[in-house]
This record gives sequence, C-alpha cells and structure tokens, in this order.
Amino acid sequence: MDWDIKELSACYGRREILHGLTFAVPQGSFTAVIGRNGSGKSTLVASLAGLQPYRGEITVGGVSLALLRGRERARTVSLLPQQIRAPHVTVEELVRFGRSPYLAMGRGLDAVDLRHVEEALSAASLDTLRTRYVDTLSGGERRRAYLGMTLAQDAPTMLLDEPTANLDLAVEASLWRIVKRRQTKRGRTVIAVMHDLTDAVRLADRILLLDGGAIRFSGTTADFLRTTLAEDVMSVRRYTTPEGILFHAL
Amino acid sequence: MRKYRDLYVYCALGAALVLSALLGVRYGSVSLSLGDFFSALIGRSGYETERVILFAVRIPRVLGGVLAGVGLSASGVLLQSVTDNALAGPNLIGVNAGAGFAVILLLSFFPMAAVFLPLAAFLGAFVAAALILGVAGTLGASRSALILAGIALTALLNAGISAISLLRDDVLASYNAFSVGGLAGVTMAQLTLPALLIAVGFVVALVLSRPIGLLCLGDLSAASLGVSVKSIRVVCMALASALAGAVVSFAGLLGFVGLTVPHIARRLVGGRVADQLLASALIGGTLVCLGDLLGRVLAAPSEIPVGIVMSFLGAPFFLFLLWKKRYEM
Repeated sequence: MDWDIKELSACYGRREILHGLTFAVPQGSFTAVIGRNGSGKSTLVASLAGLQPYRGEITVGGVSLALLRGRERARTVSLLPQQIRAPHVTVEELVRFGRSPYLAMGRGLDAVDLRHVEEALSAASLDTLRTRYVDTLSGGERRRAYLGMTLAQDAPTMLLDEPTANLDLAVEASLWRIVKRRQTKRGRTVIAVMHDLTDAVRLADRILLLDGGAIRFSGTTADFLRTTLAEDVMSVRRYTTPEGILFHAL
Repeated sequence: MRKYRDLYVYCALGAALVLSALLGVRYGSVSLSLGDFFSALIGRSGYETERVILFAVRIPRVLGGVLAGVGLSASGVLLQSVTDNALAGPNLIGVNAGAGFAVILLLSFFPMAAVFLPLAAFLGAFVAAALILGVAGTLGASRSALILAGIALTALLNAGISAISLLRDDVLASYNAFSVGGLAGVTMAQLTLPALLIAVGFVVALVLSRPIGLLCLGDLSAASLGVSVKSIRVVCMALASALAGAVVSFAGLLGFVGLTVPHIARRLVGGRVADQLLASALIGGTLVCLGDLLGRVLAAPSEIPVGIVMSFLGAPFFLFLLWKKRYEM
C-alpha cells in the first residue's frame, strides 16, 4: 500500500513537534527515518500508526488513515514501539497476540491464524523460546519476541521505532535481517526510525531526514548519499570502505 | 502439554473449592456428624435444628464466602491488568473508602435506617469508583492518572471517615465490625442481588479478557493491535468496582483477597487474563470459605471475622511473594 502524507502536523501538549510534513512512501519500500534526538521521529511514527492526533492528511492505499478504526487500522499497519514491556506471558502467547486484529469477540485462533503464528515464530527464530516467559528473557530475546508478534500481525506496513536501541551488534544485525527479509520476500512496506546511519543507508531504499520537526530530505538512499546532509545535520563523518559506507560520530 | 497441565490445575482447584465448601457447611461452632449432616440435608424428621443450622446459617455463609472470593479476586485481576500494577486491589479504586464513608454516614445520621447498610455500602463503593473514573477520564485515563486519582480520593474519603468517627464515637463499634469484614448473619436474601451482579460481571470480564490481556503490553502496543485502550480501561474499572462493591454490600471490607489471589493464580496458570480470572475465582472462593471456617472453629463458640483471618494469612503470604521476587526488584 502506498502512503501519501500531506501537510502533517502534530503536537505534544501545546508544543508543535511536526510542522507540515509532505512526503510519499511507495509500497514495498524500506524507508529509514533519521534525525537528531527530538527531531520528531517517534511522533511521526506514532502519527502514521494512527495513535497520535495530527492535522493534515495521511492516506494509505488511497484510504484516509483517520477513517480506519481499531482492528481495521491494526490490519493495515503494525507498530513495534521503542519502549516495550516484559509481561508474564509466554513467547508463543505474545506472538499469538499479533493475531488479535483478525479475531472477532469471543473467537479463537483458527488454522490460518495458527499458520501465521508458526511462521512468525520460525521467521524470528523463536522456536526454542516459545514456552519461555517474556519477563525472563534478555533484552535482545524480548525484542525478537515482540518482532515475532509484529510479524504474526502481518500488516502490509510495518512501523518500527528504533527497534535495536541498546542491543549488542550481533542481535541488532539479526533483527534487521528478519525485517529486511519480510520486506523483500513478502513485499511489506517498512518505515523504521533508525539511530545508526550506516545501517540506514545499507538497509533502506529511501531516507527521510527530519530536522526540528521538518523534512530536510526525502528520497532514495542513492540520492541522499550524493548530498552532505548527513554530515551537516547529524554531525557525522563519512568513510567509504570496501565493505560500504560507514558513518561515525564526529 | 501446557493444556493438560492447566486442566489438572483447574480440576485440583475445583476439587479444593468443593471440599472447602463442604467443610464449611459441616463444621462450625456446632459440628454436625456426617449422619446429622445428611439427615438434615434430606429433611428427615427430628433434625429440624440441624436443618435450620444448615439452610439458614451454614449454606448462606458458605455461598457468601464463595461469592466474596470470586468477586474480590476477579476485581483484583481486572485492576492489576488495567493498571499493570501488581499492588492494585479494590481499595485502589476507592471501593473500600467509598463504602466505608457511606456506612459511617448512614450510622451517624440515619441510625434507624441501619437495615439499608449493605445498600449504602454498595452505593458508596460504586459512587467512589465512578468519581475516580471521572477524574482519571478527564486526565486521559492513563494508568498513572487512575492510580493517583484513586490515592487522592481515598485519602479524602478516609479523612471524612476519621472526622465523623471523632465527632460520633457512638458509631465506631458498628463501623469497626463493618470495616473488619465478616460473613456472620449473611442471609440468602442478602446474597441474591450481589450474586447476580458478580455472575454478570464475571462473564463480561471473561468475554473482554482478550483486549484486557493486551493492556499488559503497554498502551502503545495494545492500541497498535486495535484495542481501544481508554474505553477498555474504563469498562474494566466499572466492572471491578461492581464486583468488589457487590461483595462489600454483604461481607464488609475484606482485605487481601483481591490483592493476593491474582498473584497465586498467575503462578499456577500463567498470565492469560481468562485463565487468571477462572483460577482466581476458584482460589478466592476456596480461601474465603476456609478462612471463614477457621474463624468459626478456632475460637468456638465465639468467632474471628473472616476479614481478620484473611489479613493474618494474606499479609505473610504477600511478604513471601516479595521475598520470592527479591531478585526482580
């Protein structure tokens, strides 16, 4: 589903965080949302998830996001937030939660739902953890369990808000592999807030650079790399290596 | 595998409830032999006294105990789920303070209307919970808004109770009996309306258990799965206050049941809200029945109110839970 965002503004309390953003996200693309702390990245993702009041117009697949309610919205877009809890449920139960948007009141999971749950458990490498309680997992395993829930939700668009914050490099890489596979193999649209610029330009087809709640760049990763915006806005230094482009903080 | 394990747990809990109810019916300050018990049960002539003890005293009392356990435990599960706070219990939403305030008002200013004490307790509980919901609702119905509104209104109502009891020390004895919580003198007529409320509230809670269960993921994750967080939180609080208020109307302020039983249930059947509700109902009913029985036989022919027994049992158990979770804190 294509996303079309026009004049999007959002406030936190009385303070306006996003100032009239206009951009588009093609179906099946991987868009990295980057910017300094406080630039409005998380507010943008919450707005796109329909969980933050906004002004302007967000359309997804030609339908206004504001018209989608509850479970219908959850069948269109899933969200993996930055802050996740550690509930006392098993990993399998957590992943099953992902099918909630498809279940009418009082109806249990059917064969199709269970197939999605099994696929998600397998895709997120959670088979060996399925009977473990989420509140006993490490930070990385917990993130993977939540990602499994998001995969089971199987919405056409996945929104991820810094899903790898505070994780070690190996876990970070494995999470991004799972997300990238979902985009390329299933054609899902991914919009991810990313703190690591190196990962962003390596994984994403498109870059959305926010600065002070406004867009400084929206376009393909190749076009972004032709600019010096990363250096100018994010205060980083670029290195070109045989393995690819690396960004380091100044 | 897990399903079979849960099935065994439910069977064991169900058997414990039936056994504790049977013990509660048979034993008390006057113990009935098995022969007396069955003779009174089938209405054999010559067993009129035993029959009165059984049908007018013991059975209503045991039913009251089961209902109190089910209502308070289910209320505790709902409150702990919607606030995601393991220390939440019916007193958090002002049920105890509201009921207490209404009762002391009635005893002080309308002592001739003491027959309406259960009704006043129920209305007080419900109005206090509604006020807290209203205040929390205007603040966005977040978890912290609910907890803080509950603390503030409870403090206000407790101040009112203290002020009235200072001015009218003649009502203190009656108020103390209510505030301790007990099942002495409970009649079937007193139980009819609370039973109906508890049954309806419990079924509605079970039906809503899936969206309620998603609240444990946090507001943002629950909303992203399609849950209307604010609405479900308000409905849950209303259900929890109705369940606890119904119990307060005939059993007074029974402490620790709503707080501790959900913890035991979670340890036995895990974190699914439907499982917690079912297991808590069975455990709560059993514990209140046994607590009431202990209170009747330990100091026979006088009795210790079940509220005191539950506090004696509940408080050490809660400390035990804290000790078990010491590494997580």
